[in-house]
Amino acid sequence: MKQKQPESESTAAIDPVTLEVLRGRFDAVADEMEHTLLKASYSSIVSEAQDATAAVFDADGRTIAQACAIPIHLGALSELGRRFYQQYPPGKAKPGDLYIVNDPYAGGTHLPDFGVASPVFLGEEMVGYVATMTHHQDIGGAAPGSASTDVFDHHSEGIRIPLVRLTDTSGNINEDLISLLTANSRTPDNMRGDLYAQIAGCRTGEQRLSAIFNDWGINTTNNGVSALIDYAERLTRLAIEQVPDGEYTFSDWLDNEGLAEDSDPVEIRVKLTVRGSEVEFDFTGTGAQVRAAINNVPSSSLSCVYYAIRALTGDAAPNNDGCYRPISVILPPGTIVNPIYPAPVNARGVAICRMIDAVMGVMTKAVPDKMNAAGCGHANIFLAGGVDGDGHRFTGALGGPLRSGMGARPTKDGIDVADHELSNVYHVPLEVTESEFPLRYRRMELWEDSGGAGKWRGGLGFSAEVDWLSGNAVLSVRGERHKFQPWGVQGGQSSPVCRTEIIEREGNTKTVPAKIVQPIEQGEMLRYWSTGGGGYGPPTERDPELVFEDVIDGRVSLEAARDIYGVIVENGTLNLMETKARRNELSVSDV
Amino acid sequence: MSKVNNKHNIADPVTTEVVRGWMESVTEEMQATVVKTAHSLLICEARDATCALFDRDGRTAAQASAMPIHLGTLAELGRRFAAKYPAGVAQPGDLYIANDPYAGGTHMPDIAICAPVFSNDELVGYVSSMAHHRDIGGLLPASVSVNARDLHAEGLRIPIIRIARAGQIDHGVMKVILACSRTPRSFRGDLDAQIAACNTGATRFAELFERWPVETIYTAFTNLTDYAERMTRAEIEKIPDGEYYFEDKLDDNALSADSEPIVIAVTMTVRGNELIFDFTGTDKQVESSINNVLTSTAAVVYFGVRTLTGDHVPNNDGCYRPITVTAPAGTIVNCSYPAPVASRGLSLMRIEDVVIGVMGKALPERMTAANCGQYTMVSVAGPHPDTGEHMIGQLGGPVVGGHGARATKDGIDVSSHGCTNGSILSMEISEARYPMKFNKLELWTDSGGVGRWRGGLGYFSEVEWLRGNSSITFRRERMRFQPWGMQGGGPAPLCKTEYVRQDGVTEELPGKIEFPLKSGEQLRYWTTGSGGYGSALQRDPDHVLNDVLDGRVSNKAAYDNYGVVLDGNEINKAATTELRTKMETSV
Repeated sequence: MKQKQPESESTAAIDPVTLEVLRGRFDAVADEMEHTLLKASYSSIVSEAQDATAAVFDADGRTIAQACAIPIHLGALSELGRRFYQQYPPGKAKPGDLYIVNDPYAGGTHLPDFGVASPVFLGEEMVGYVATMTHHQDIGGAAPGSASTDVFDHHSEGIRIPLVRLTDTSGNINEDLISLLTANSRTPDNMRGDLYAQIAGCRTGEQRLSAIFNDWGINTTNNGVSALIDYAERLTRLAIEQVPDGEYTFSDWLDNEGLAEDSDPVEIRVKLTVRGSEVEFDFTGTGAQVRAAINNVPSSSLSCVYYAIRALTGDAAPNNDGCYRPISVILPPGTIVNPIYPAPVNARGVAICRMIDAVMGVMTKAVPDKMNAAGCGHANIFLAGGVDGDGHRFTGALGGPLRSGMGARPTKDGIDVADHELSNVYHVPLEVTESEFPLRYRRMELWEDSGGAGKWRGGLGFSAEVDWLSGNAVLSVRGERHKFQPWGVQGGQSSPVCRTEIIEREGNTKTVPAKIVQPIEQGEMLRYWSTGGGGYGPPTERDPELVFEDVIDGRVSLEAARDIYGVIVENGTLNLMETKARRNELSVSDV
Repeated sequence: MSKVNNKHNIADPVTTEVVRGWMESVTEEMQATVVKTAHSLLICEARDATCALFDRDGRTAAQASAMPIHLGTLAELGRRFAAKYPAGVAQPGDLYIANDPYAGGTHMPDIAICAPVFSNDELVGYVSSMAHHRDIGGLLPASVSVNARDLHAEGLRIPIIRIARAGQIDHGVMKVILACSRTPRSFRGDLDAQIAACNTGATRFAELFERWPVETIYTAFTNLTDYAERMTRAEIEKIPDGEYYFEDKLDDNALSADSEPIVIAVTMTVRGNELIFDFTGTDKQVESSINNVLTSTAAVVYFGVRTLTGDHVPNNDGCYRPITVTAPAGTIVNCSYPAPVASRGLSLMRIEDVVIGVMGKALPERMTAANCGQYTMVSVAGPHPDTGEHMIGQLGGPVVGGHGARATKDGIDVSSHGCTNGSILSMEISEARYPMKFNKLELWTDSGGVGRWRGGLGYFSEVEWLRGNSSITFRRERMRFQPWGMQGGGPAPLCKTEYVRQDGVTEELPGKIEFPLKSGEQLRYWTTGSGGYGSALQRDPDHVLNDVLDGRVSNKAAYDNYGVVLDGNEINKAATTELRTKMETSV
């Protein structure tokens, strides 16, 4: 029987102050869950890199709030909310329940991302769900780190968890299931620790969310949720209305299909249609799914689009389902952005970078004054598993920056070596890596001239040298942007392509392809160059003082200053006269 | 049913024998349940499954005789199940599951399910069923790739956990297990068949306790295990005390044809009625998945010793008590976690050769010459040219060649034998499923090692691909080291593989290879027979004549190896005697 509510409470609009307070409290629930997760997790991928997210849903599975540590989880959690609701709706969900899932073909992203959720009750009544998502270090599969590109199919990638209860009928954690999961990890203690951190995150979230419903009453709070979702939708529509109506297209390419270096590049094609306050992103024309594990399931592809629109609306709009209502996305089945089971997906990050480039690229066509040039467009992922000289086993991802340069902005330079866009994770400090692996970073520094030239320069990438000190390991390298450069916009230039080398013990230098599984042993050295972002606007329009500073700082070489920017620096000073002449020369030769 | 009155709880010989018969029929009924209700051919047809019954301490009380290699395996798992779920922890309606090679298992496709058995709320024992599953995820379909670099790449690993409580399946655990398979439906069907077998077994086993008091039955257990132990010790006592050594080699590490051969060595020490098998001297574990955990190696030893005791001895823990198996950790016969083990079948055959071989040194009259010592696995993959659907599977036909010659008989031609006696998959099914045909499948003349008793023959097979392309994975052994003869018997020839290309050029292929086979191309393979027993010159010339008439031995070999001179279909006795004398003296 439905409880009768006073008229004023069920129908009246909620006053803006209450609404804002509610919003703050919902956000605080997600943030507190996120902090619990980050503080309690075992593995450095969570505690240091913060590859984890928390979200709050209403009883219909709609996203109310999300702690946005890592935007790539945006679409994923929103999809998972719907799945929790479908499988464990009010009536079926019981207090104390915990659910777990990682199946990419059932709402997940890739197998290492485990979603853990629980229903939230106020007394007998179910009022919502809370969920956490964490990238687990190793979940079994073909190679340590569970992100190998070269696998036969999805089943070669590690343990696959359909959406199931993680608790038994009396609300206790199902230790049999936990044992089964951890037995399939090469780092079982980390998995257990990280899983329990996720559970702790959910338990914290349950209490806090329940308290909100308790403080305002179920109806008022639910009305508040609906109002906030409507509000996010309104703000998103307003932002979209600023974009000129029309059709825009853009393509970018992955170096290859992910396995053979000489395989065909894979096109990511996007057509953006803007009509009033609605947008449609159509990926028709995008390359077919590939054999390598770089395919993206829809929840992953949607995250790219949601992120791009979210970048337009800014902080003002709450992170909830309303943000996504004005957006439609067409993902043709059988393509790299919507593969058909059992296509492998664990190394999807490789293609995500390019999807983001394509989505941001198409938006530069529509709103050039708001969008950046391309970021570095790849992630520096080096996974190593092996045995050190003392016989200790190690496995995991090497630290250091995951991303490199950010694209130049319409009014500013790009940021050097900074995580940006979708992944947005923290660097695992080199020192942590040196303590976990038998290696030493001999050098890690900004890579001169790696930012695309422009009125606003692209952020710089970096280069690094790593000595392997003892034992041996298998290194899985997952590079990109070894063939197609990150693009500039509005006359800005591209940044260079990346490069990876191994210096063998005898001193021979071997250039290794972008993606490879490669043994490395004591006495060998890994050396790599990771590119920067594209430039914005013509380089000859860059303020010569800024170019001069770049030269002094070692960001731009003397030669590049002269040849590309038309800026002459002599004996440590800027020669403005020569610069003017040189720039004239450049503009003449341009014509 | 009223209980038999037995004041003293003493199990007299008649009661003991009835209990034995009861327990054996429980395991046979369980085995029949699995085979009749399973979904996949691997279990229904190839019968790669086994069932056993344990006492409350996890000691094997009876086992259905299906796959000898599972004998020792379940013995170990029984102890582990009982240790984790002893009386007080185990509850009626529980089911347990496991496949972890480093916790009592063999390789991960072999999954064991176990149920505790109760009588009047008292734990009285366990029943268990083990079966080889078609696909449990991992690197490649079928989950037995040699290329896995560690255990975690080989598919789903299941520690010993509970999968049902109070008769209710834990759906969370079950769904995760099924989700990892490429063939979840038949996987579920096969697991259900195992569960059905355990339920049947538990009911029947419990019924036994309605007939006699628990103490009586346990006394019967003790009698039976003591009996099996006594019988085994009696056989061991017949073996002359001493140390015996034998070694054999695997062609390579299964990854590269020019890698070093791998030595498997064993020293058998016989002291009174005890046997020690020590594998010191065996090569280190390898990068490919042909490693064996110690449980698996011990199972081969148990099989070898079990061949001495015969059918009248019950299959229980007593058979293993007089036997000790040791091997240095980190070797291919006792690998350390996380070494991969999925394709251990390749080296299992060689472990069997050395176990039979070392026993042959001590008991030449009871053991056979080497069997063919290999498994020819030919896997097919690729899109079917007519339907576009993905073909994944094995080519039918025999996978093993000859069985070794015996001290009193010839070896058996092309037959499953030894510790992995699975049944053969039909060639007709292959021809129906894939665009190919068998042009020939015939006994390979002269492939049985010569001897007073000839080795069993191997076979020759010619396969033609009719349409489209396929990717063939070929995996076999005995390309470098011949199956050995005994007591003067000759070895069998090496295996050989040829590939006839579209342009008519014939290429010889290594033992392990993956290559494309295109329309109109042929694959021709010779799978060897087994070693001979005793001097070929002592073979009854009539038998040699028969072999020649049957095409098992060529005229030339009859003359050159056996010293038998034939005039058409007749033996020229005088010439034969003369030739044999000459050959004997020239040796």
